[in-house]
Amino acid sequence: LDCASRFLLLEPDALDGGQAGQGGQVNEADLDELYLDCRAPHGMAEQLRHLGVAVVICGGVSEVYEQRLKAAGLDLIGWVSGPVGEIIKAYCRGTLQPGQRCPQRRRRRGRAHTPGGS
Amino acid sequence: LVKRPELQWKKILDSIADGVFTVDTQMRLTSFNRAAERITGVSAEEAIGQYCFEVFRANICESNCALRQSFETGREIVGLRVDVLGRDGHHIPISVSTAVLRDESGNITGGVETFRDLSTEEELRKEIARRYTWQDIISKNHKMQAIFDILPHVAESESTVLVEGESGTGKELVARAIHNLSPRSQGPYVAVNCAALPDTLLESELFGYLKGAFTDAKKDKPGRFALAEGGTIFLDEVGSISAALQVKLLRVTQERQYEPLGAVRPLKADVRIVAATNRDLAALVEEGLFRDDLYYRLNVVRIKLPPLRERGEDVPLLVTHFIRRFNAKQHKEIAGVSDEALAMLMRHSWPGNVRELENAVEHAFVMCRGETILPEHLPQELSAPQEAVPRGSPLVSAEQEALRRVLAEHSGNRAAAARQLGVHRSTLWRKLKRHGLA
Repeated sequence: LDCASRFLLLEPDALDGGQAGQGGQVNEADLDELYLDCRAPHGMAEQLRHLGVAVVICGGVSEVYEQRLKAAGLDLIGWVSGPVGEIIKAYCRGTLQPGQRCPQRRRRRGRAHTPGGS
Repeated sequence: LVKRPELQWKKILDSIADGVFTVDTQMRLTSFNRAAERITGVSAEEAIGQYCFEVFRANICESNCALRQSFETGREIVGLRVDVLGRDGHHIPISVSTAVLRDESGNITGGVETFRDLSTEEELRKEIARRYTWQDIISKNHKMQAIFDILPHVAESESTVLVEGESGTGKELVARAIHNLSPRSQGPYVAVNCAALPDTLLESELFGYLKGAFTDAKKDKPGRFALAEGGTIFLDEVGSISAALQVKLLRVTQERQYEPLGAVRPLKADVRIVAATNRDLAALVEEGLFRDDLYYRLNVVRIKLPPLRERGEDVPLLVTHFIRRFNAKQHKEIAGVSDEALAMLMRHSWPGNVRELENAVEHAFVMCRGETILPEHLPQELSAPQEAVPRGSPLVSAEQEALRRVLAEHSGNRAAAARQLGVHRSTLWRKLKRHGLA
């Protein structure tokens, strides 16, 4: 998370009645992207809170970022890895845990996988 | 072993102290040696098959991946300094080198990355920084180190001290250090800027007044000497006080007595005096602007602080110190300055000394939105061509400027600077000494 320049936004609509909520596939391309002005811990946490973000799902996260996000009242599920779609599925199922590895499921068509703290 | 060469390779890789991993062209880990397990805290079993960026979690993974660069250019990258995130959420400083792996036909089949844990070196670096820090004063300059050596002895004595130095060289820090190290450290420390007040006000400020001493003096007011009783008074810019006040100050330094305005009897002053000036007091004495008897009274122990332009080696140390301080104060996470920005800081002549440098770093903190301070974040006057400080003949100034510039280009490395200048190291040393840059 410390070096993440791009965030993907998963809106509550998509969770409740949308594709993600009904167990469908969510691709990276379907999600809005967000680029923050400030990537310092305090500024990042404040901007995310200001945007109404409630939960941050990310890969590696340092102690200082974790503390700042929690202090800003955000829930954090860190150290997660795998394709975005699989992570969202696990989150919607309520099974996503910190440190979880969500492996790529075999499909007919492959999906792009990008690095970073999205 | 001959039949299973991969086992032999694994043994070889595991015996290396540096972390080594290999990836395929999709950036999936294909091997992960024992040192890599130790440094990252991830087992090889867990790592192999994962994308390297999901395991390695370095600050270059997303935007500036060294392996990807090697794939694109076919070139090796050697000794790149990066931070990885350990499993406990702490940053681990490492040095990374990458190369591509090719098959017999020369096609790229993957890449190899070796990395060295720099934690111990970083600790040593911090230890050195601690060694160069003394009572909030930071310097590795030999003149400053000599001052650090004598200050405890100066502090122990009761002698009056005169601190000389240009504006912004840290005269008050020295005064405070003398107080903190002295037997009076439990007493008050009172600082007065003699240039900040008109003479009449300064007198009442220093010595106080009694009720009725003048119109509006409705009650007694203790002066700074009274407030500093049992402790230390720091008289900054002492060279700017008037001749009349110099007489009164002389009496305090000689007899340890003073008279508040309107008083009929003198008061005793148990106060240690530390005076400071950014002017050449000896020259003022010669010009008749400062009393020679007061000068000699104040000049019992003299400490002369060198200007920052004569202690260029301290600029990186001070920059690191100010970055750490502003990070804490402004809740930011700026990691450092780029090489270009540091070279710019080293080239500047700092007429405002450490205070100007502090202001420049603070300016950069306002402008910088990322992790590294770049040249464009620094104040504009730093990028403007510097006018050489006029000192002696133009030839001398030019030589001094050339020395400063070349040293800055090589971050203070004298051997490299001597090579570029085409002179022997001892010649360079002699020249630096002559120009007060050593």
